[in-house]
Amino acid sequence: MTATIEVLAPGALTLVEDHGRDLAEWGVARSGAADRRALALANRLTGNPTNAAGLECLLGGVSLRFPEGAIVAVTGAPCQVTATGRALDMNRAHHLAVGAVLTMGLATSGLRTYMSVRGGIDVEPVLGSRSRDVLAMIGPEPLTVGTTLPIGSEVDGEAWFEFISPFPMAVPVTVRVAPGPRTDWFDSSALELLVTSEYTVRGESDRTGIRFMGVPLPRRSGDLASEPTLPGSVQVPPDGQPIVLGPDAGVSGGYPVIAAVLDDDLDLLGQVRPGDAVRFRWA
Amino acid sequence: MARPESASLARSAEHPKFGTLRVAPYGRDHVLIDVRGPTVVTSLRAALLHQQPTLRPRPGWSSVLVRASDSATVLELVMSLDDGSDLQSEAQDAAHHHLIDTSYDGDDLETVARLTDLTVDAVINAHSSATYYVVFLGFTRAFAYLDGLDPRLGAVPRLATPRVRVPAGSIGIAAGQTGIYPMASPGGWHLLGHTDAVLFDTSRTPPSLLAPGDTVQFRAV
Repeated sequence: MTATIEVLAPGALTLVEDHGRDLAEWGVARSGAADRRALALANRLTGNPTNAAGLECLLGGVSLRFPEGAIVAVTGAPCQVTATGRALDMNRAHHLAVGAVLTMGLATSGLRTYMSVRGGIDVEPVLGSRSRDVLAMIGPEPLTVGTTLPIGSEVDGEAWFEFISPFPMAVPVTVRVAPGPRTDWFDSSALELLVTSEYTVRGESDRTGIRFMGVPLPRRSGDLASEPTLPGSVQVPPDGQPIVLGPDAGVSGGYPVIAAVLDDDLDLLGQVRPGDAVRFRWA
Repeated sequence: MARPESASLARSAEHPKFGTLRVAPYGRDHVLIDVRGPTVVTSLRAALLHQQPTLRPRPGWSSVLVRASDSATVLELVMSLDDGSDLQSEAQDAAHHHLIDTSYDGDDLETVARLTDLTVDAVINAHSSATYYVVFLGFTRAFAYLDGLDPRLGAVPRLATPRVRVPAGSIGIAAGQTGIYPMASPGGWHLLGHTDAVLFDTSRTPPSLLAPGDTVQFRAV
């Protein structure tokens, strides 16, 4: 019999995510965990392949029951984790007893908490991935009360039951950028402003993109013919306020791209909250 | 590091077949090649796929994105692509022609007729008699960008207020383009009709019915 996870409380938005898809030329976004590093760590701790599917919990508030027990690890945005009332450390693996209830409380900093279960979450892959794409609505549905998730059996090694110190999160968050294809749409002051000002994350941010507010970046008026975009593209709409495309962004767009966030630094943006300050710097 | 000198980032060149090219870095791992328009995009993409498939060329309306870290090398490669007609025919061999059965019953037919000074029948005729080229798949869920709209329909703008929900299979025009909504979504195009054709199916490989380089005709039913 397949072991399962029963969702008692899904939190604000909890998604199944792995490392995403590689079908951009077919018009399909990469999707995958917004903080791939945190998911990979959780998978390492449970002894899974690093790209196994886990849960991405937005701001916590999640409660899960494990009728057959399991080995789990929780990483990413720090929050209080309990197993049937007993506090558990994040960033190490734990045995959960048969029937245990795992809760992940409200994240105290950061945005997304990840949970890996040994064997991975074994929902049916869609287009080669178990990731939910919230814009194209591809992949497993967001968790709701009563959702039952099958636990898989693919493992890569032993689980790690000792505490691992998590990735530090510096404030303000600084991400590295490299020039985009449309630097000629901006005067040199915009290139300077992008890396010398602080930008604040706006509330209208999600997995499709992070919208920022700060000193507007002066640019040419008009639109480009739609061109391919990437997660990390720094688009500048006419109002001059940058948008960094996220994992579920559409794969084409017409706003000039001044820069692109380095792939390794996208994980940091997966953890910023509305109101947080972000700095960009040239790689 | 000091800010990049924008002038030094992009390189331009003149290619005997592809015309004026501009090559610029797109972040650290990609390079964007700008060309004149959709026709060049289609043949450049085919040539790159043939010559260097590891670049994973991704077309846009008038550009092709490749996976490469050095734009000078990309420019060199593109310049070395000859205008061999075998490339062209190879691209055409791989392309499919799609007849899309279309019910011209869209909510905006009358509006489009008014905006274009045509009768509703003439709008339908103009839309269904053209052959369209799939330039690229973009936005989300493989939205196919089609080239070849009758210029008489080119003046139709986007809606002042987008609809909150447009059903999957809706066929619209706006800003010189026509397209089929692959999924129910908000939409700002004028709707001419709909098709029952399944544009996107996650159980299919590839998932999209239409591929770059394919041709499309809408057949009134």
